Amino acid sequence: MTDVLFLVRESINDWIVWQKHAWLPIPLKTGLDERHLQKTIDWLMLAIENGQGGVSSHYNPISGRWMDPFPETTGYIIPTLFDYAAWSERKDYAEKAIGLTDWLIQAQLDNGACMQGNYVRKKGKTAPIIFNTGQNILGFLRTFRETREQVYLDAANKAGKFLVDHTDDKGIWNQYLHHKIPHTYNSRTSWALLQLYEATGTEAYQDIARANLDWVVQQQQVNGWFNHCNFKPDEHPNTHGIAYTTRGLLESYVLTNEKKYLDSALLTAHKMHRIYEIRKKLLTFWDAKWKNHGKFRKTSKGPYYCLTGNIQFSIIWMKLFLLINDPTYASSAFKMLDTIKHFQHTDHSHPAVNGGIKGSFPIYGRYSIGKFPNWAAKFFADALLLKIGLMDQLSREPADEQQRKHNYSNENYHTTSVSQG
Amino acid sequence: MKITILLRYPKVEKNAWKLQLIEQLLDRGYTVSILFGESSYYRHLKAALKEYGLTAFRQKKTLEAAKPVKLYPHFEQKIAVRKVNDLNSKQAEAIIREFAPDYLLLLGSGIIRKNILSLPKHFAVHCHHGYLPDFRGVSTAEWSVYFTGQVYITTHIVDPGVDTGDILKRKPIPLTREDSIASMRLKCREHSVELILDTFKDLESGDYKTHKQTAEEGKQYFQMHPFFKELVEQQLKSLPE
Repeated sequence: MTDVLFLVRESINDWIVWQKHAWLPIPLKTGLDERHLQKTIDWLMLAIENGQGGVSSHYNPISGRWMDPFPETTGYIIPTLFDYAAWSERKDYAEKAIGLTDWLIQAQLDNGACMQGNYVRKKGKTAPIIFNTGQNILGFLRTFRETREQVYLDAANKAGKFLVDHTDDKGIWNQYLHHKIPHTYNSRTSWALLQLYEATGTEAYQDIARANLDWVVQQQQVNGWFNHCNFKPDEHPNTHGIAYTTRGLLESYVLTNEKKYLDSALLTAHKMHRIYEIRKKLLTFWDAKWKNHGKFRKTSKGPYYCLTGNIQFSIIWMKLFLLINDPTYASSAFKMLDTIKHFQHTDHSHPAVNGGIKGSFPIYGRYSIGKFPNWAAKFFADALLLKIGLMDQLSREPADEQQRKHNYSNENYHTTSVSQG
Repeated sequence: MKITILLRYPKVEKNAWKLQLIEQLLDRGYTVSILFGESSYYRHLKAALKEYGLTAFRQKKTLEAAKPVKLYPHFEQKIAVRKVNDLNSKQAEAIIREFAPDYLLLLGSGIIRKNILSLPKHFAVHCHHGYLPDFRGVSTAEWSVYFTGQVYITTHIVDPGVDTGDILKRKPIPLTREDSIASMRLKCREHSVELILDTFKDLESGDYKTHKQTAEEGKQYFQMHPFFKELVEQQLKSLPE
């Protein structure tokens, strides 16, 4: 049954909060990380319950129903469940992740690829997509690492072979692309291939991954902007796609130690960090001069947040803190997440809403308008797990140890002449 | 020497250290004028809500020993004091031209644009709570303790960048394990009185050197998350006796 009434009420509420936001700072909700995490995971479990074996792509209040399962994001939700199982010491979440992987193998196309869009039983499997295939590899490999069962590595290899076999003569993916245009966010596909190379030692995986990562780096401008970062033709890129691209490069650096990937990720992550701190917000759609726009129209500033993209950047900033020991990134990430916690219902009587993360805030924003997508909840759970871990680690280490560990921008700072009273 | 001080919020500005500083500048025989910005009730309200949210209406606790005195009425009859809505406006420009200062002194004026910065005979001076060029931006006293366990304050020439102008003088702030972030900030303010007076003394005598800073040398910091502030409080508690 339709939940239009909920949507109307939520839109009015969000509109009021947004207007208030112009006058008042949204106070940081600094506590209750565990509660928000638990509610997010509960919501994901509900999406799985309603996912016909996979994870329902989103809850849609207009139709009042959970949509069909989404193989692409089911792939990368698997690691989230394993991480949560480890943190909560609850094996049932790991078992759920294994169940999702088994479903993903069934949904895998004969050529090893992951299909486009939602899996609608009546319609059957659809065309293969490069990006989705990469995201499935992340799930297959994680389950293989957790279970050591060959079937999962075989599925990953099958998907990897598809990715290797469908490139141009320079090794760049040029077919089976969303909307038939190239995308820098396939850096995440490269990241998956590099994981596969690590697991198997098959050189071709690494070669293709690097060729595509190098292409992504070439698309970057000096201001951190990526050409070809949009999802659809004639649409402005959004924070979700920019964060996908950046994270793919960052994780690829971790696996290859190739500094140009870190430099590239850092350039964009730093730019977004400055924009967030200076403008005090990170809106959704962008042009090449880092100006905000509506989804299609230049005349609108697009006054709404893509919550997924913002959460993804908080993850990138926390990962950067871990990589380059710069706590200013972690500080910004914590602020971002403590703000987003305000936009999540944790006491709502409607189970499909409680714990879910909206596509946009306000809910009528033009990213995943009026919906609760599973990937938003997935990244929020990842981010909260990371935040809880970091805060725990930082709280336990003595201050002088943190001080010793953290790099600091100017190595020539002279500490000897200072009186400490 | 003629100094024009730029401040904001004439209806509420009552920092004791600023009062002390202005009195001492006058005692030293400088010709001091004050230009307040953000003078309307609307701008006061908007700024207070932006900064503090609804807690803006609560009585703020202060660690300052001196009884707070509102600066605008206090100085109105003694020296040239004017107010405008926008310190970067044409109106502000005209008033500063009228004051014809040798130096501008920014004491919490917000971002001041080139059209204003270029008006004094020499330049604009600001006292920043952090060691420049390393700690630019905001929450720099906290970030300084986080990284180094110590804090400096720095006077510098103001240029259109964020704390990127030439450095004039620096001063370490003595910290003890009795300190908190609040008391550290207060110490920074109190010590800035002395540093600003010393800086103007040097400027008057002509016996001063400036140190250029480049953008690459330092880093801009932003508001610190409360969790990191808690770590800083702990660090202060673990300082040597």
